Amino acid sequence: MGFSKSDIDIINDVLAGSKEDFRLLYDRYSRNHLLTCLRYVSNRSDAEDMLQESYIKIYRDLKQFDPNRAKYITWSNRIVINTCLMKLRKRNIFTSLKNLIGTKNEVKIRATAIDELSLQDLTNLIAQLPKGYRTVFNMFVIDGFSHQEIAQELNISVSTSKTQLRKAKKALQNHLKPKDISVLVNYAKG
Amino acid sequence: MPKDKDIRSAFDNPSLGNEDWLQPSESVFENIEKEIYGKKKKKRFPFWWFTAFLLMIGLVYFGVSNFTNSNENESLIAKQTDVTNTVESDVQIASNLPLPNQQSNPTKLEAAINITTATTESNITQESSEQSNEIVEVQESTTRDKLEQVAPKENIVLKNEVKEASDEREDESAGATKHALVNQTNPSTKPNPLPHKNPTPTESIQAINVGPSTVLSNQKNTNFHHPKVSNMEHSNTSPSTNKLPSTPTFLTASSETNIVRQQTPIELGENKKDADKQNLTSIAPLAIDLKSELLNLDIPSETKTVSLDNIQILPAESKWTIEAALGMSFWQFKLNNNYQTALQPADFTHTNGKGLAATFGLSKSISRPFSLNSSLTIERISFESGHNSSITYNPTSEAEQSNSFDLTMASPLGFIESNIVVEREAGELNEATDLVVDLNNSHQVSNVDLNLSLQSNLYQTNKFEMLVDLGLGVNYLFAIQNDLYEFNLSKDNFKPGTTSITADQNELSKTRPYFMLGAGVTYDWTKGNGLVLRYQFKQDFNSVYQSGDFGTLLRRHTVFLGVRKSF
Repeated sequence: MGFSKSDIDIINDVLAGSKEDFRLLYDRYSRNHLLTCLRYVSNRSDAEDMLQESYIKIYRDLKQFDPNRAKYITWSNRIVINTCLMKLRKRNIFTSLKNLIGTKNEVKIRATAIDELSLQDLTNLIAQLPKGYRTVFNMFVIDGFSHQEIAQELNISVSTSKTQLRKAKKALQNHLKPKDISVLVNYAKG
Repeated sequence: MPKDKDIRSAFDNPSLGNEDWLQPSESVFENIEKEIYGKKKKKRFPFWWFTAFLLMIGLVYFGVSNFTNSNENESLIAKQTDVTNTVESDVQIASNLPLPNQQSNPTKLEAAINITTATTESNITQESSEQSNEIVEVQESTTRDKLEQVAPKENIVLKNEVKEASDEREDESAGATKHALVNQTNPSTKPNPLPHKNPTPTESIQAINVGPSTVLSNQKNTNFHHPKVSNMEHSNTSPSTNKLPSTPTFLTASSETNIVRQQTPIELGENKKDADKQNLTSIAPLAIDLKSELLNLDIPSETKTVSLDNIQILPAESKWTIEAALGMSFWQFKLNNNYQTALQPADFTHTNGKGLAATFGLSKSISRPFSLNSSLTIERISFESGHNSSITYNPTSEAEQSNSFDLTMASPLGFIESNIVVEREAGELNEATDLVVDLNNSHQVSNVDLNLSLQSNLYQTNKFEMLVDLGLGVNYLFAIQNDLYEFNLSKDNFKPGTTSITADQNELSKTRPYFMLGAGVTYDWTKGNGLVLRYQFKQDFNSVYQSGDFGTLLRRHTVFLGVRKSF
């Protein structure tokens, strides 16, 4: 698969015009990026749209990538997050008619604690959160934004960000089985 | 105890090789590849810039071609076409035919035809000066016999005319001021203050005044001048005749035949334009004949004709014009692909804007056929938009069997915040119900724009004028009103309640530059007063609504009908 080639070499080759290396880069990190998308947008189709859009931006901005400042995965993931946030801001509360009438995917939690959840379950669990909760939760807990940064990005107040996070944690707790509540309660309090 | 870091670490694993559910579908990369490599992102062809450029080229072309046929300070345009027996290239005709001044000033039509016969090359020139009647002076270095040989019949007339002119000249030399022969219509005309000194022994100078008081002079040793051109440099081929400071136009004696034919007195009554036209008609064949006869004395003496149909006398171009008009405006909202795509799931639809427009304009002619226009336009535009949205009616939060919802709604100009109340029919509702809301909005917006444009006359007759405009301007959007006038619900046991708009579009670019292309026709029913019908297309340079990748560009089409007055 050519995984032995370093990110930097691949990027240089992509910048030199190599389509194969761009495919290599995509294969190497597209799952990470799709995971990010799935955290921010709840359905897979939208997530793949975000991924597609993100990769186009990544390709266009690749010459700006500075390996001395960040790893490629960190840099590119930020582009993915920004793309998702932009889409979320734009789409606002619109939901397709199909989604409105369609069935809600119930998350079947098989684990009893968060650390026992599979990545897929955890992703689905987060995806079940209301958009506002989900976004703040993703940004703060997983992507490491501060409340200040979240407030700026989402054009909300810092206190709103904190409230949304608290509610997100509480909502996560509600999604777990009763026997897991204690775990989530602890988590929500933590 | 799970902490944030536990969740973060779950997602912070760069190796997801085993997570097949995270494998994007192949179409994702295909689309990426297509976007990046497949269709080389076509640079948006600057269609409108190109169109504007072409139009500008067209304007310049028309301007230049028209300008070469008219003197910038003149208000009379003469077109001569289909003139047979065109003389060689050394015949130069430059028309410079002013309209008669209104009221106070006498008619002024100037032409000078200069033919140098000494070198057998003749130049026929119609020249202009700011203040003179038509002057045609004939100079020949040949003998008078030659003249008689060429056109004996006409010379009979010529002689008479010459005699008159000679007498007149003598009187003039004697200090008597007699204008009648020279310029009977110009009371301000003064006799030539410079007497002829040392006239040449050759019969070289003949002066003919073709115009309001057409005069032919053929006298020996004498130059006959219209007083108005007495300050012009004399260009007689004989140095000894260069006594006068003026430059009369010289005509060979052999050509006098035709000149004489044109001596029919032209009455300059009230219809001065006709007189000008007639004068012009007299000049054109004259020039042709003069040259022809110089080159070939055997040319028959039939008069060369210039059809009056081919001569247009256009009204003077006013310097300032004001214009007021009312019209209809049509706005096209061009939502970009991202915006359209995002709104598609919500079944977003919208109409284009329609409304009334009023404009007030001022234009100043700068040089034919161009003028500078500036106008102020106000429009009041209405349009509608609608889409679906989803709400979940929760019985636990209802009050008096109704729930209120804050909704964000889309419009071509961005998002609006609203509040709706949904009521349900009496009965039990135990669980939350998903509802689809069909939202219908109406919007009204006012716009004021100020533009500056370059206008060109493409075609002009006495009463009609065809214009094209190319310009730039600035828009300002204001007085935005949104109304959620109707919404419907997807389930029968729910019914719409009250609605309110809580926030209007807040990401509007209210001030935007634009460029304009326009065309119009005018009709003058009296001098200086006319009707104008205009069409204008205006496209903004930047989006009227822009938020991230979402944007809406505005194109406006306006049709005006109004009145104008020229000064």
